[in-house]
Amino acid sequence: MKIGLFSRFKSAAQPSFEELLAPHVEQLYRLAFRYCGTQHDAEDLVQDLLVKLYPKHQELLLLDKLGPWLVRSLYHLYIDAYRRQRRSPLEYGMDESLEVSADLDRPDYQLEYTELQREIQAALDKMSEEHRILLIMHDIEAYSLPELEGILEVPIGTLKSRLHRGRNRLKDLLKKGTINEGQALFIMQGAR
Amino acid sequence: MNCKQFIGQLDDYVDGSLPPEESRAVEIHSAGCDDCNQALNAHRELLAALRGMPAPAMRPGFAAQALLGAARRRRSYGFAAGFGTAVAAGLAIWLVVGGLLPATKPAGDGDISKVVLRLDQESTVNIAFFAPKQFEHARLSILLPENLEIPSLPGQREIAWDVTLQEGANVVPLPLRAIKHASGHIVASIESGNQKKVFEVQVQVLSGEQSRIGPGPRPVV
Repeated sequence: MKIGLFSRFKSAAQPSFEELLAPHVEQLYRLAFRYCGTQHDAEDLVQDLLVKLYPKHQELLLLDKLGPWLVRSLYHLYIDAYRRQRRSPLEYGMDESLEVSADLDRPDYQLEYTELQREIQAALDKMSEEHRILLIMHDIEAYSLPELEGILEVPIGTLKSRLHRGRNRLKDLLKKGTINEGQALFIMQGAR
Repeated sequence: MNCKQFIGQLDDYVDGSLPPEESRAVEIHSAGCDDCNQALNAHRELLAALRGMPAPAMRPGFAAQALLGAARRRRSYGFAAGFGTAVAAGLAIWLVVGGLLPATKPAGDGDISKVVLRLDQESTVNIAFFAPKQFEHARLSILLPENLEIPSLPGQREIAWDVTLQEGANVVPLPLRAIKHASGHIVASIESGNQKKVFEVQVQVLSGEQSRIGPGPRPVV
């Protein structure tokens, strides 16, 4: 009985792990989807982050800005673990197996892209991870450069030049005429 | 401002990070240069398309499921993700194949579990490694007996890759096909630094209707 009372008191004084993290899960999922490209892998990435964070509940309570910290953690998890593990020699074999259990109602199959956005998505998939991640976070998810300086732990000056190169790379990859006539002008004028 | 300078400042201009006087110079140039005006519009169009890139809403119930799952699961993201699996999908595969489970618990070298497979049938054998602590930069190797093959890697009996071994259960979902009517052993080894641990899973291939596991399914949570 004493334990029960204490538990309720503790719960009122400190948010539980679920209460603390719940407001952030949707944003984490959204970013994870951007990184991974499928709902299935995005869920996996977010789930793994939460599994890793659960033992650190008390530390999380001490953070001033939990949101950016979580975004940074997700990014590092994706970069450090997910990409390395994707090099497993069994990757393709398992992907084939997974198609059997794939949910045909998965939202990522139903997204409504414009023609330009389809071209952009295809181009993003061909870009270096460094540029792709930056474009995802800055140009798609609207994180500011100062925010990204903290999340990616890269100086703003480097981020700006990386963003510039990334956008140019994206334009190069887009088919001629995809944006409009202006795309050709970018290339022509940039060479002057 | 000439066209080259205009292009050089385009990113900063559209991002709103140019000082007012430089922004004004960009606007003046753009107003008097059709090419650069088109370039500016194209740039804006691209950024607008990027900003509007669709993303799916979370699956209903996922947040609650993931948060509760975090409290329960001590699973290995590294191993499972190495095969491109999601948590849910991995469990689904597990169940679909009838709960094949050769849980190799590192109670000591030579710990053996038994798997019984049916000839020419593909099954996913989930091999669970239990680690007392996290091991980063570990090397996982799996050597198959000659009566088994990985469907996506026919003829290849040994595979190895780098993993992070998490504290607790680490699951390797191994897709297998029995190609010969014989017995053998799957030999799995984990190497981290100068430490190495070797495990064996006994495999028997039958031509009968059923395949099953020796000790019975064991939840990996």
